[in-house]
Formats: sequence, structure tokens, C-alpha cells
Amino acid sequence: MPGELVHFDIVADDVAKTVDFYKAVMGWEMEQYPGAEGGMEYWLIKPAGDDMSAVGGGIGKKQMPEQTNVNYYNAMGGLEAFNQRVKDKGGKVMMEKMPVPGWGWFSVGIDPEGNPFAGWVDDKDAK
Amino acid sequence: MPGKLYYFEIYADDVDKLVDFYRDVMGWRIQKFQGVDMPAEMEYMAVNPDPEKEGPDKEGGIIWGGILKKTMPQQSTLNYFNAEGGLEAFNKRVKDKGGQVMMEKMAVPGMGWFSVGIDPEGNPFAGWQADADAK
Repeated sequence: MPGELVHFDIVADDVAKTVDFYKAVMGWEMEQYPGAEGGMEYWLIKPAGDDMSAVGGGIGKKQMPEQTNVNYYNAMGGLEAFNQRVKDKGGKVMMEKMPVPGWGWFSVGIDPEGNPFAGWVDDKDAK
Repeated sequence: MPGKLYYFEIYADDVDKLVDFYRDVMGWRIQKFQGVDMPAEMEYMAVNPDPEKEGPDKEGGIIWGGILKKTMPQQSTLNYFNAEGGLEAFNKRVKDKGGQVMMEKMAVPGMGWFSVGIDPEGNPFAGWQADADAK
């Protein structure tokens, strides 16, 4: 599905506190992302039982002070074409294609009004 | 599922410009939405990734969204999550856990209720409670 929302990230300086907050407020079950090497703190929301229809989300540590939450959308036609459209339409590509090993690829853009968003492509071979 | 993501909104000063941007970049189908009791001058554009679906898909994974005009300069993107146990209980938990409730329960007539909160790190989010009788 073109442009489908597939994932959302919540960013925090104090990840443990934020995980605790959302567990209590939303009723989410969360687990630390096992592939987080190099000290990257990232927690994923566990889908409830067999309910795989829920959009995935996570809470991660801010890499930059100005970082805000970002939604990930399926990048129609792949990330190269996606990022080309972002630039052609007056947006900016803030982060070029990066792998999430074993899951897929993403890139981060800013729309002409300054709102961040990310493009996503599934790829089990991404590394 | 508790806390399931229900909806997203993207805020803009120039709504037309963002509609044009996201239509091309995401391939979204975007139409003007005129809700019950919604002021005619309120510019609200509804995002529907799937032309086959007529409303927010409560069963599947397709999330609907909207693009609308900012009412405050700091507005950016806002996600709506199902409020487990209703909005009063939801907002109580927000305050108990060190967050703030920025906007108390408001009706979206014929659809449901929402409220807006800020987490302890300053990130905004909204709670959602579906209710066809909301007004």
C-alpha cells in the first residue's frame, strides 16, 4: 500500500522514564530491541497476542537535541525514488537510506513546513 | 489492543502546499473533509491510502490521517492512540505519570472523543475513544 503508515518512533533523553510512562498510560507491553549494539537504547511495542494488525512503534534515545517523534510510511517505488520526490517537491532529505539489519531500509525527510517523516522499505536482507 | 495507533495528523501553515507535497511523495489520496458541525472555514484534508476503504480501519493495519492548518505555531505531527478504559482514566494516568493534559476531552461529532497530552519529554500525543453518539 503506497504511503501506508507502518511505524512510529517516540524520542526521549530519559528512555527508561518514557517507556514507564507509555506502559502505564497506553497499556503497551514493551521489550528492548535485541539488535541494539553499541549502546543504542531502543524499546519496541509488543503486539497484543495475535493482533498483528497494529502499527508498530518504539521509543528510542535522542541522537540530536532537536529530534522529535517521527512516523514511518511505506516508500512507494523504493527509497531512491521517494527521496527524489521529496527534493523535487521542496522538502529536504535529512538522512539518506540506512539499513535496519534483517528488517528493511529507511530515510528521514522534512516536508516544506518543517515536519519530519521517514520513508520505509521492507527488506529481510538489509544490512 | 490497548494503545493502538488510530490516526495521525500533520499540521501546516500552508495546507495546500503540504497536500500537494504528500500526494506526490507518498502517493496518498487526499480529499477535503467536512465533518458534522465542523466550521466551513476549517481546512481539513483527509488522507486515505486505500481508495477501497471508506473510514479508519479498525480491523486491519491501514491508518487514516489528516493534514490541517496550525492553530499554534509549535504544532507538528500528532498521533492518536486508543485510550484504554476511556479518556477520563487515560488523562488521569497521564497526570499521575508526570505528563500534562493540554486539551481535555473534546467531541468529534458522530465519531468519538479525543484529548491531547504531552509526555514527560515534551512529545505530544492524543487519546482517542470511538463513540458514534459523540457530540
